[in-house]
Amino acid sequence: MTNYDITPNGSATPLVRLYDDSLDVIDRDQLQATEKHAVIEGGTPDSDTDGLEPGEIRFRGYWFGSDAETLAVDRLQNGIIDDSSVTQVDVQAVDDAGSNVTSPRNGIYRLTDQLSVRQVSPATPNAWEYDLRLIEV
Amino acid sequence: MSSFDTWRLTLPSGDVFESSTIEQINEQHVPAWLFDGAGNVVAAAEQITGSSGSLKGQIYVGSGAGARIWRCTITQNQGSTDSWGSSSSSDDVTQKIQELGETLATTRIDSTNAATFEWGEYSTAGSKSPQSVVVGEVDLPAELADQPSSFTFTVDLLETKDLTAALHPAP
Repeated sequence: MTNYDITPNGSATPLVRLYDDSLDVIDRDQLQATEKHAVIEGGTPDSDTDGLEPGEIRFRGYWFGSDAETLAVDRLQNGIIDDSSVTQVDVQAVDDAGSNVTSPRNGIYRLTDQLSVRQVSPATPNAWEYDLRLIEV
Repeated sequence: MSSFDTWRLTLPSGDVFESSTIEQINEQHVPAWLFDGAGNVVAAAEQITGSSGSLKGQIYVGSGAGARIWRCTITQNQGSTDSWGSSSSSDDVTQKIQELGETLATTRIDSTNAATFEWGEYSTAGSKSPQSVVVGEVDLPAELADQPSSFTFTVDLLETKDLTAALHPAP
């Protein structure tokens, strides 16, 4: 299976691993901001890529088990989302042994303000849900 | 013959309920695919250009989704020496029915606090392993008109993962 490791850009820690067995479908959107037939001051768009915004990718999934809270709170929430010094992250696909693998999703991404981490039930700290929107750099 | 012919349910509280009178145990695998192409008007195979043969081939992804359920129909007898919670062998049918009902109602059982189901090869004495389960529907009929010396009940046991294990380890 292909899992995804997320770390602050240029740093190996904290490391957040998104496990393939509990990852939802990975969405990638890329908007074209130029209006069709619109006249833009200074010139109309003359190529298909004019006005093309960076791609946005969305990772959604779960963590289960005794390390779920560590991944969700210690590493993701406290180490990345709430750390104001972290604005970009590295995404690296890895196999089950933790070895890097090739993936079109590998790269540097900018954090958006749409990042959420949620405890699935107050009855247990061993199940967490995450929803991360990242912008390709 | 299986190596363990007693039905045994061990609750996380330590309470044990067992019976050597097993009426029926149905193991059911209830599928729930991550993707089954159910939204398509036509079968996936019919949409694939150049495909030949059956047009009924669908696409199913995610064999691990779904549930595995043991639907157990068990009889417990008055006078039985099988472990039955806090009941003694001299307790009557009513006491034993309510012992099970009350214990299940007051015991937290979920994936962080699972029960253990043993029967046949799914046991420490068998070739498989005891199963971690949570309790589904329970039906405890008390048919007391003829002062019966036994009662038969049904209970669904659902296979569960142990949420206390490091299922997703932090590397």
